[in-house]
Amino acid sequence: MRFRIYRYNPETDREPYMQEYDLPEIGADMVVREALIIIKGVDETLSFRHSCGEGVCGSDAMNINGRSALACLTKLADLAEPVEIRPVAGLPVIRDLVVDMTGFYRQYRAVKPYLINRDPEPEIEHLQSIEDREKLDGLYECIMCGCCSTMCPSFWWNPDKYLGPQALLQAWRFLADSRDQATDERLDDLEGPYKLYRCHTIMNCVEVCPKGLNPTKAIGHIKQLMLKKAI
Amino acid sequence: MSRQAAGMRAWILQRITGAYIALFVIYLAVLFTFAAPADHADWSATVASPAVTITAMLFFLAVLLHAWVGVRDIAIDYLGHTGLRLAALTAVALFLLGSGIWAAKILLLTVHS
Repeated sequence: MRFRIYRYNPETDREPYMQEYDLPEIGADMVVREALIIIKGVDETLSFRHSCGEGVCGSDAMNINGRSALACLTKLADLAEPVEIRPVAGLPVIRDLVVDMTGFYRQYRAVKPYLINRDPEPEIEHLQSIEDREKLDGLYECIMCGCCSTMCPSFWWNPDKYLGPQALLQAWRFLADSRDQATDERLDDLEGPYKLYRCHTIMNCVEVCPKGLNPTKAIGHIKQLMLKKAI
Repeated sequence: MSRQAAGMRAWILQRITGAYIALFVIYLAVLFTFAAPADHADWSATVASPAVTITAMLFFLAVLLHAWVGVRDIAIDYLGHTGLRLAALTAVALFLLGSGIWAAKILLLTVHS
């Protein structure tokens, strides 16, 4: 199969370039991650992140034929040749397919992704009804691979000010949690034209999420709750 | 504009004005399909009725507000330079204000003269 892969080594290259690989031993029954491992066997200078190989760790997000995807879950059989692999868009490239996720993590931390509960610590645990627990389904499964935020045009234009779909999905995950007591403060934090309201329901995030999550819906829930609290 | 107005209020304003514009356009479509004014005098009389004048003025106000929120959104997305954004938004604001005054003048002075 034929591949065109984005290459950039800041120590030796003046600018990025696309390198072609044509390896007959790579079959259509493989996933992109397996192909990259074979390519790295031939050209050990190629850098990319990967770990679990089964869509759990979220390390190997990359732009494959124009879409953010996990290399370990993307079947070669579904891709047009040559398969074009680039780093995910909107984050600075460290080398080849490896990007600097600092900005992405900063936005995640900004939504205080942890329970805020001011009651005295219970003896065993904070209890939650089955119905309340079900409200977290489709939210807690996020593996923070960054596919959604790096496919979001609003995040591309304002990566430092707009929180992005990943962080906003997590913002709703804690707003929706019956044990959390910081609803007002969380909503106040999301006010203003940038943090939440740069979302224009483009829905690329929903399209590319490898876990099938729906950040756009979560953002809609936040807007509804904000409106409810305001009137 | 306060920070409050910049986020949620702009968003809800865009939705409310959008809904009103859609309803008014449907009203116009129905009017022109089933009871189209025969001539200019007939049309002037229709617009001169207080109900139509008021709803039409609200319509133009809604269009201007809707346009303002939308253009401001585009400016925030694509014009990263603060000075450039300020200049563009000032120009748009003046244009929208002028259009609003013009529409009000037509509705209040020309039609009712």
